[in-house]
Amino acid sequence: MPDSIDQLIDLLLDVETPVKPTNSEPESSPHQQQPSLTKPEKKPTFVAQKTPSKVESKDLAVDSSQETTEDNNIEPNSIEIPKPIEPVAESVTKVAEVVLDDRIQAISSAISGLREQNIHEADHDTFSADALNLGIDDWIVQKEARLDELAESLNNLIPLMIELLSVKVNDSQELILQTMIPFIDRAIQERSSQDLDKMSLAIARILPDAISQEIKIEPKSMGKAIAPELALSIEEQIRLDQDAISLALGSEMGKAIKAQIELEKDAMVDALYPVIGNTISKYLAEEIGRINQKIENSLSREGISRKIRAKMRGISEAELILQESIVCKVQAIFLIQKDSGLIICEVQPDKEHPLESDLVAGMLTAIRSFANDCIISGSELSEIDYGNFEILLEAAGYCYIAVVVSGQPQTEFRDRIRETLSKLVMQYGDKIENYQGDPATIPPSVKLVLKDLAHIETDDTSEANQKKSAPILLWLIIIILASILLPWGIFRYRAVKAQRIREKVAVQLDDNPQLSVYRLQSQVDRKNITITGKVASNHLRNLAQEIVSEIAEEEDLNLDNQIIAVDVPPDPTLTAQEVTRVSQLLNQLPGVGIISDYQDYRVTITGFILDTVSTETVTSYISNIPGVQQVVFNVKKELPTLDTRIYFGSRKSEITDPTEADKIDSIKRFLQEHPTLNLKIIGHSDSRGSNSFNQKLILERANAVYQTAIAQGIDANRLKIVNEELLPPDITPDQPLWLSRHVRFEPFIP
Amino acid sequence: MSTVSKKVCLIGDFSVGKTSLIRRFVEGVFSEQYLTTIGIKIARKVVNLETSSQQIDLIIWDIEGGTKFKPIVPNYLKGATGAIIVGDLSRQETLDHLPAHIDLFFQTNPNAVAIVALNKSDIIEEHKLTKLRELNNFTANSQIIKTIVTSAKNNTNVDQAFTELAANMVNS
Repeated sequence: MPDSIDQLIDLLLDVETPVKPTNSEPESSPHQQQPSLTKPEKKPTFVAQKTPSKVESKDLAVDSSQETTEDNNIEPNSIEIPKPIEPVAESVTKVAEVVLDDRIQAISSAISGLREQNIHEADHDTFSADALNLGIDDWIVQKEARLDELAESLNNLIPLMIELLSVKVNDSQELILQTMIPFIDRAIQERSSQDLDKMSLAIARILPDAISQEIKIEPKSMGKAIAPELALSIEEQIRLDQDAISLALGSEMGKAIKAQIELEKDAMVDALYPVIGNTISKYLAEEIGRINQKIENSLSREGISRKIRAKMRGISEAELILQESIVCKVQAIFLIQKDSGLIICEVQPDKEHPLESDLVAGMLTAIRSFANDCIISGSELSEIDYGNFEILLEAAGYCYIAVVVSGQPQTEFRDRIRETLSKLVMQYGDKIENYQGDPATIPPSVKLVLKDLAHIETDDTSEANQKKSAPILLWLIIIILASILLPWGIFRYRAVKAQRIREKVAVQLDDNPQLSVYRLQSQVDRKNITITGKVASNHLRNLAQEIVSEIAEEEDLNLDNQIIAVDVPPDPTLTAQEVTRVSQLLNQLPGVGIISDYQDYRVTITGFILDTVSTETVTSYISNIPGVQQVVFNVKKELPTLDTRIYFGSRKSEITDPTEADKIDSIKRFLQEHPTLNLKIIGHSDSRGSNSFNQKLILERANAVYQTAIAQGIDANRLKIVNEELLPPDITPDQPLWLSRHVRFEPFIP
Repeated sequence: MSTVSKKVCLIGDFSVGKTSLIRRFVEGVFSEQYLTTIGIKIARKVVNLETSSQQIDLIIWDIEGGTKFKPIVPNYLKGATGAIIVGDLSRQETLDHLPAHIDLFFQTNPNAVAIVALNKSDIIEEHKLTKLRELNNFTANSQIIKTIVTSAKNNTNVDQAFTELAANMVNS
């Protein structure tokens, strides 16, 4: 049997067409249990591996790559080939290897076939089985040696083949080309895997030219070829050098945007809308809200009171509004790095229940990323409402600020956050960007800035403010009330006082008969009494001044006399009446009996004024009457005499003689002539008879004349019976007796 | 002793045990109950390093496991200094996805470091474990500190994974 096997192997080694190899590779799963019978079968395979060939090592998946490289290193040492024909030699080696490989595969399969056959036979003949095993082992050893020999001889053959090839190359290039073509790609590939650097160097020299050439020949296909990797290569470049790409593109960015706007404006608007549109709409909404609020509040009672309080405390009204809704309180402020979500700085005024800042910051960052990524790319999350809490977010640069607030914050507060953030980014932007989680790298002033932001709305300040504001408010109210009521009271007091003074003035002026006919008005202010109006003469003006100045003195005021004296032509009727009235009054004086006649502003006075003093008085009174310009006196200083005597018979008291009776006429005439005079009737008797008789007689005689005169139509008031001496004063006793028996008349001013 | 905060991400397919590793590390507990993480969960633990005087405040981002249909959001990885990239030893496909996760992480954070954790070692037989460990050894990338076999259930190598990562983050 061993002989036949031997022969078979020889045959197989010589045969050109290899037997199709069976799959003898181990399963990928190394833990699968192989049946024990196949164990020896693996041996030839294993032997084959040991040959200094590369093929086996490549096919075995279990081997590590390091082993492969070792093999590669061996290869160039074993065969030294002149450099120019290296690729050719390589390919020849390959061909040889392939052939060898196929052979070995064939041998292995043949052996395994034989094994199976042997084993099958062994069932029948157990003795021969042992022998066979021994034989196989021997055979394997032999074959191993032979394989080595074979490889050795093949190595020796290679230079010969190369020589042949070079001769052939010279002889017919075309033919060689034909032969080479199928292997060129493989040759390059192999060479690349052997020495990448050299291969790259070789190609590198022609590559730029080649590319530019290709671009010239067919630019489109070149574009297509590069296109898919363009994005990736830019990304890679950004990774390698962050600034390079932006630097390269930066200068052209403006132009590009401009060009794009020119080309397609709408598309550009659409593209920018989510960013700019949102920013503007957000800004506008906030502004309108603010304006609206101001308008709503500015005219209300709260608005006005707030304005006053703001002025009192010396802060802006807006700030006051902020404080008014003071339920709002800052719980925490975090300055967070945008990407990593690490806390750069934090402020938590409430020390009793601090928030887990790291977790909050991380979660907020995740939420921001999520919103940014999955909802609207490029937009910013600005606030999170959570029951009574609100988390205000403002992002800028490499960080964002998160303010946890309980209650409803005012829009002004958001402005403050923005200001704070921009201040921080401006000052510490680089430190924030390069923050690696070490709080020591952040200057302490950052915390101060954040504290400042938190400070405004903390409770203690607001309470202090309120405590302070309460008495101030009270005082304010008092001052306001005082400032309103005090002047009002003074005003009222003055008004009442002025009214009283005016009434007094009016009464006083009215009391004066000369002024009562005029409409005089008075006004009273703090220092002065002003009287206005028009009167007929300066005299009246002075009269009024005299009356009012008394009142002014009482009230301690200055008098401002603005009465205008108008020279009004007086009513002649009134003047005449006045003249008559004054004349009658003057007639009451003793020795005055006048009649005044007013005509053409002239008063003519007739009658009797018996003494000089009375004449002056009369003149002054009459001339003072308005409308009287001239006084003419036509008065007598002595009374006239009436000589008429009515005679009686002896012891008689009746008027019997008609002549005597006629004398009454003369009396009548006298009284008519002198209307201002009256007459005394005086009776007389002769010296005879008794005295008592005569007394009775003279009264009877006077009475008889009186009765007769009345009977004649004389006014009884103008006659007066007077009892005098019995004998008449002008009759002497030597004259006849009858002369004494008469009644005489004597005029008098009544 | 100064404390430095660092962000650490746990990345991997769904149900590989990221959350369990974190719970074991932070809270010291393990639960058989599977609850899928939605979005992000953040945990925190301070680690004292033996080698230096520094304390590290690890902010651990437990990121929702990736699936074929829903890849991991790269934004969540931003700014991380370290990552534990987790595979499930009992599910070959989760191990197959490890390179993709590694690439994604280092693309986002080129200067970061990472540890590959092959989790659920408790349900894998010993000999298979060696083999799988050999197959999934990511030593080519110098930024990967090591590949470590872990079990959140048996508390195998969990603390080691985190502390070793922490130590390397300080050095990097």
